[in-house]
Amino acid sequence: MTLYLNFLKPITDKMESQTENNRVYMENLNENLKKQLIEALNLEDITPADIDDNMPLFGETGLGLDSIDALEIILILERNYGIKVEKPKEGKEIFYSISTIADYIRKNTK
Amino acid sequence: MTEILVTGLGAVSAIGTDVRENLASLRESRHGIGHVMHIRTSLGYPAGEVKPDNTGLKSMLGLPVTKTVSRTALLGLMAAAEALKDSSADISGSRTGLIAATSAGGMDLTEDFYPGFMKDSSSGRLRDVAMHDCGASTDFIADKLGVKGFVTTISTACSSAGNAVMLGGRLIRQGLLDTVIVGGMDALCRFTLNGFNSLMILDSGHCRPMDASRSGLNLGEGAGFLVLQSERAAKKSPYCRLTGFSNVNEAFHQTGSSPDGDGAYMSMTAAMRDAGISPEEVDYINVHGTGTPQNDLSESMAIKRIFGDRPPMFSSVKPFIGHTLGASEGIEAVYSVLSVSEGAVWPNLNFSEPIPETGLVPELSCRTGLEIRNVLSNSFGFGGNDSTLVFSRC
Amino acid sequence: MKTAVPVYINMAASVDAASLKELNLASVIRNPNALRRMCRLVRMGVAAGMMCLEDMGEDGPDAIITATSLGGLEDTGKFLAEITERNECGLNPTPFMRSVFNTVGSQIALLKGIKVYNMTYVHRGLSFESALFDAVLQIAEGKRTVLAGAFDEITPEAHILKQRAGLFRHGEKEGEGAGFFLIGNRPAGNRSACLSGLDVRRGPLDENQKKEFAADFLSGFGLDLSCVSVFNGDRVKKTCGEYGTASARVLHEAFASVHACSSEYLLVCNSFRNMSHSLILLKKADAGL
Repeated sequence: MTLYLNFLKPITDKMESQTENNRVYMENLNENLKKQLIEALNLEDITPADIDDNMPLFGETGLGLDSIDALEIILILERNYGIKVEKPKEGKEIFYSISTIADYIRKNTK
Repeated sequence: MTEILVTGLGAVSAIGTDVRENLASLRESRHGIGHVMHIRTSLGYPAGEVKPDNTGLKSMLGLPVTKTVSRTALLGLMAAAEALKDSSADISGSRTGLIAATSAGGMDLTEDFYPGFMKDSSSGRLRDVAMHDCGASTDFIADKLGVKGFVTTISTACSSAGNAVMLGGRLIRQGLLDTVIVGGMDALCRFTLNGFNSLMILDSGHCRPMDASRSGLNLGEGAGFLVLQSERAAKKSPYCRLTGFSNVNEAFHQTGSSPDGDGAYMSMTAAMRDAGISPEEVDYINVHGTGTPQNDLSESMAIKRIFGDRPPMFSSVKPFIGHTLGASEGIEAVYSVLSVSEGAVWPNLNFSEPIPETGLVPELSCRTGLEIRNVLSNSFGFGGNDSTLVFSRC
Repeated sequence: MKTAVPVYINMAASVDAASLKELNLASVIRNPNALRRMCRLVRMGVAAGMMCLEDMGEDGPDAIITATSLGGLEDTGKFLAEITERNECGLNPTPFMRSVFNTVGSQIALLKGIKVYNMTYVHRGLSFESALFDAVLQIAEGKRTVLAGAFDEITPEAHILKQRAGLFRHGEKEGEGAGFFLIGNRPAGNRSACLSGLDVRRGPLDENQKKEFAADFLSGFGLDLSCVSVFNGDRVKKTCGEYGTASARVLHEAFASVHACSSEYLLVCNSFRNMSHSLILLKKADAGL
């Protein structure tokens, strides 16, 4: 019963704290994305500080990622943010930089 | 140099369990793509499955239904045995061989064993993983057919069987073998279906190779084998000759192909050079044509670079049978040989609009009564492995 | 098969789990973007291959031929596990891609921009022998240099399965590693050895049959067992362990010892779980053709 009561009462708190968590998470979105990218893509010698928010992730001028990495980024969005990118083609613009990915996540998260 | 004669054919695919059935389906534009029936999967993609289940295949092969054999090996045995019988070749000596290609081997058994094994490592029957490795399927076929000479297995992803045919051809040319059974085999399995899905290159509908609206491939399964013989070993008049082959690596990307079609260009030109023919002498190209945006663009760019605005007749048979991976160039080599011997070209189903970058239009219906001098047959795989075979009239 | 033209082994490199840890990988595989995506097995294979190519300069070999008996088992297991755990949804493509058997051969091609013949053999205990056979054929067809090698790995899952199959009961030691060779139509330097011939048998052989096989093979060269030194692969496997392509490691050790042996010829004998057998005949390169 306690469980039940506890469950009933804090539900608004919980929602608030969830939103709060989400807010903090979203504020640190760029940093989190960088960490997730480094881990998923096994970018051994790179730290979040090495990745500028606006630097191109793909191609020779930036981080040098390629189409297989794009598939991994799609998984990051799916597994961590519940966002589905159905067509790899759409990824081209969305995954241009950390900033563009973060924008896309904000637009697609309620 | 010793001529390489094609004296036997065997094919099993979504459109037939022998060469006669495959040929009839090609002529009548009857494709074999449909719902997955034989494997457990929650993915809804269509595929080109061979119609009989394992029990059916075993009884057709005269094997006890209780015997554990990978589906890959069953399909391989069926096509290799048909090819051998068709050739009337004597394989009792040591100057004979079997070269088989596969990409999945016995994965169809392993993937059913694995979930139980993950939970409890003492569970499951060992015989279900005994055929996991690719060579096990080849050895099974060699033992069933009584091949005593050279036996090996090749796996270079989707170009595997093209490379098996090529190795057989080289061994006959060099005078090392007189008779060699060459081809490829692969069963559809959850592992490859999920693998191609994770790469986001499966079409949820029927694939549309060489079409502007193409959006991915359909997987398939099956096996195709040829018997190659030297002139002195051949006992019957051959279907055609294998006159050229190539194996190149594009060295462009681990899974992708270059937009200019460099790999396909190098592969086709090297094979024509090997066969001693010019582009004008090519009458038909059986293209790799998987239906993925990338493959078909780079392949048709290469065709344009070699043949200009008036390329020879060409088509992809993938809408009939799906992309059968390690079996692909085995089955399609059989279709290419039949193109030469029957004087026919096969239709490229589901085509409506040419690829805008090239404007190339494939053959849309089955045509017969043609004089086909030389056929190029392409197969391109992961890792930039590109192969082309040339079959020529006798 | 007796080689129709002179064939030489000019360079050999092996990498196993221990030497992989000691290697400065970034100096052998000089593309960080490629390196980060390689698993342990691919790193072992590519590193051994690249070490053989180090002195080649821009030209590169005329063919790359690889072999593996079981391929990327770790990635195969990973992808199989994901299929079950994630119920076929949102799977990571990287393990699937790496589990393809020709990954090592194509990675070497990609790293060095080598657009030539590229082949992969996957025939159990005779995978490496198939690659070596093809390399000899390539030289006979007029190629100058061929990179040929093999690789296999141990995984915890495969270990359990081997244990259940009773393989360790007969004293088999588990092994893994990669071994690559640079093969040429002429000797290069004083470490070269002539690869005079190669033959294989499938199926079990008893001791007498093994001797018969060796005698038959040697008679093709006008030789018998009394005029060659014998290099028994089992001796090497006591250290490196048993695996489908352990014969590549055995050949490396034999190659390293050929100039120190008393006879002109060294007969390298391999058996894999008495399921398949191979004989390789090496000759001192400076002793004439």
